[in-house]
Amino acid sequence: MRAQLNPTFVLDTLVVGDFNQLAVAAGKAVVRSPGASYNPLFVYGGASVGKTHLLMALGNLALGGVEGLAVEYVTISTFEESYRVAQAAGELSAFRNRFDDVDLILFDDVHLVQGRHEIQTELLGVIRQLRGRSNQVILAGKEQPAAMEDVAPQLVDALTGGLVVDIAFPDRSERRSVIESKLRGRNATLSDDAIDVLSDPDIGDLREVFSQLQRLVAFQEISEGPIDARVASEVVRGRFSAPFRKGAEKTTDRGAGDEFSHFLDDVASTLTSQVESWGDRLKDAIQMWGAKGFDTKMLEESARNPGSSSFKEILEEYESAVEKLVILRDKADGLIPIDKLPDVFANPAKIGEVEVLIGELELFGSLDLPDPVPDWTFDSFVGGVSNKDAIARATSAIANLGKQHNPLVIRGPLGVGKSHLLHALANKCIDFGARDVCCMSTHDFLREAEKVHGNAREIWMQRYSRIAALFLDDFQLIGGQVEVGAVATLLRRAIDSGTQIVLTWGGSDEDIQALDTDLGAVLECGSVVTINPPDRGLKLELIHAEFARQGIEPSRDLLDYLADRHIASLREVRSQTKRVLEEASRLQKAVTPAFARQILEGARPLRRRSSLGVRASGIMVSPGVGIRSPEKTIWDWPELSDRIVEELG
Amino acid sequence: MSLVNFTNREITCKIVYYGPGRSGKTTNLLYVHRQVPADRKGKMVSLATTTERTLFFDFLPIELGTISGFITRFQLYTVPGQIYYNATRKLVLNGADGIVFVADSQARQLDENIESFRNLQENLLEEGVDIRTIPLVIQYNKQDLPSDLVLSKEELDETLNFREVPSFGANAIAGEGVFETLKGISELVLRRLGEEGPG
Repeated sequence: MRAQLNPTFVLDTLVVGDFNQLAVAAGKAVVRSPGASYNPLFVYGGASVGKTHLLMALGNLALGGVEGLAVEYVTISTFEESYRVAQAAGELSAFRNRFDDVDLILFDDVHLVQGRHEIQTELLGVIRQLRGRSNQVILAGKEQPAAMEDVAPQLVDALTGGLVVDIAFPDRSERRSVIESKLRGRNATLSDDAIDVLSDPDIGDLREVFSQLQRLVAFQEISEGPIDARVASEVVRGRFSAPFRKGAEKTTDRGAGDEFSHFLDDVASTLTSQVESWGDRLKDAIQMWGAKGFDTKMLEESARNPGSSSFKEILEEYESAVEKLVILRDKADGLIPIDKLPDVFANPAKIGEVEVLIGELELFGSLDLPDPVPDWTFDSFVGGVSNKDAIARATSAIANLGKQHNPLVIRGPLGVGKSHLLHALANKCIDFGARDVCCMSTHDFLREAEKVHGNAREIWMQRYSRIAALFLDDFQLIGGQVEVGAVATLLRRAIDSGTQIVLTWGGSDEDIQALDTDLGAVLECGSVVTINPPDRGLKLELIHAEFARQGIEPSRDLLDYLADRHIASLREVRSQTKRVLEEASRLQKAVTPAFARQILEGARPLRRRSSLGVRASGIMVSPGVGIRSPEKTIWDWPELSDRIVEELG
Repeated sequence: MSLVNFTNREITCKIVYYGPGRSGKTTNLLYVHRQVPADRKGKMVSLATTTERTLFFDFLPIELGTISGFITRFQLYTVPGQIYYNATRKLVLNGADGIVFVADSQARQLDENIESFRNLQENLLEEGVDIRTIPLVIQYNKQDLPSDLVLSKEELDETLNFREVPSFGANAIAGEGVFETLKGISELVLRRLGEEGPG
């Protein structure tokens, strides 16, 4: 990522005028005492006003001043590129740590962070990291931080926390100085008249001036001598495609021997200007399409090696590819946010890849997102003391989808209702009208992850960044999986995009802490709530609800019996209650405590209980009394005669 | 379209001299041939009858040397002017990058000039080329003849040059206007090269 500082970009070669005096002075001040004043220093100004030159000059100045100083110049493009590479390799920590030893960092093209939220976060992290150690940050961009669009307020605050200073467009005399400096750097000369023409502010920004300067110098090299204001003006306005040549106008009275050489001169002049025009036209096209965000490597390669195609054909082919790309981008826009499209969507040379991607996008787009189990709703979810907190937190998360408790991890032992709550929340989201809710098991999710590779992986990730909520059951299964890094990235991006993430976790807090660093960091950003094993009241509610479903009013004894059984899982409570009810229905029997015991413990039910509430043994049994082994408690003593028969039998 | 070969860094332009019989097309080439240094020209191929009328065509290759990194060659052709050699004219015209229409300035040859110009237009059309799009210049040769025998450049322009292409008066035998004409067509061909790019 570290870009080389151009050693020719020094303060000596930087033209200083009113337009940039403040920026230069501030730059010198921060380099003299890094981290002590104006940290960060943010320089902004239009194209080619010398921002990069100033940044590099300050870097070179710092390097020359202090031995062993670690200075780094980074453009936002290379910063993003390095971030993506590190992210793909699961080396984000290394990416972040690499700035530890930097004393002065120079960020160029900062305006490019607009709309790139992940890069904004990373940039903010680096700025805070360096400022925290009193190391200097200098940044440059086309716009001042406050004027940039779609930039996180925290980053704007960080960028404006030091000094923000602009570089204005130079006036005519300053332009002249810049042009003369440029000529000195190129070891070239131009007449005063020509420089005067170039200094005209009507020509445009300095980039255009430099382009015209190059043209004039080239023109002068093949001309008879210095070019005057008229010719310079004509050249700048593109009216001369062929330079004046000595004797070019002499068409008569030529010596026979000279005619061919004069003809040759004329042809050479015309041909030279035409050959140059090929490059110029391609350069114009490269500049234009580049400014529109398209990859122009295809044109750049054609400029270097056009092959057998004409430039017109090359440009037509490129423009046709761009048109197709635009159509494909429109098509993709419905499937994935336009700002999240992979880079190939800006590369006309990769139309084939884009078409394949669109196919994959359509496939992903057309795949139905797994729905939650419709029956697992809040109505069928029984609340109690043991899950009260979890319900409250989860309800709050759903009411503020993506904005609170994101991600939300619902932790608890097996069978306490985590899955039910997860599906109930997903159903609630759908009831609220949330678009695209996905509820699935982590097992299925991992199988899906294993199937996607290359560009499809990116699209797979994007798929979850554009849905409202993702619910994953049994997320503890992620531990030790090879896809853990990709899942961490997916969750972080989804959360950044506002997708609500809800996970159930059937392990301990320690298991969460032992997760992969990236994934652990993602989970730490949200909330973890615990569902405890069901309390007696919750069990009673659940049992009662199951009976109510069958239209049966259970006796207090029966409820006590079923609720007091040593079961730590709601699932088991429900399952046992259902079993008793089903057996009673099948055998056409009344559901009594004895019958329930016979079904659940294999004991034979007696005809009737001898008493209610008070056991025949004389022990008063009530909820909450600590009978350590309810299974061994005899609730209904048989008649004496029955006992004898049993014993004799 | 001129052939630009980037692999070999070569540009080759084919220029065809067209016009009625005896208008001076071969004379143009002979003059050019005489002016080109020996190391720059190939052998001029001329297939002529015993009465020195072009039977097939003249061909003069000229090496212009390396310009802007490209080895540049011009290939000058003439076509037989006689009406009955139309098949040959079409053959030579095929793939031309530029055309010099050599008209006979004599007033009595005006109809032949018009007929030949029409023939040029037809032959180009058969090749799928619109005369309005191909580089074309007109040379009014034999302007040295007595003024009562020839039409002036303006008069000829009015009759033949309704497309207002560049036109040149010439006396090809003496070499007057020959290189001006060649320069005129070269410029048009090369400018078109710039507009279209190499192909």
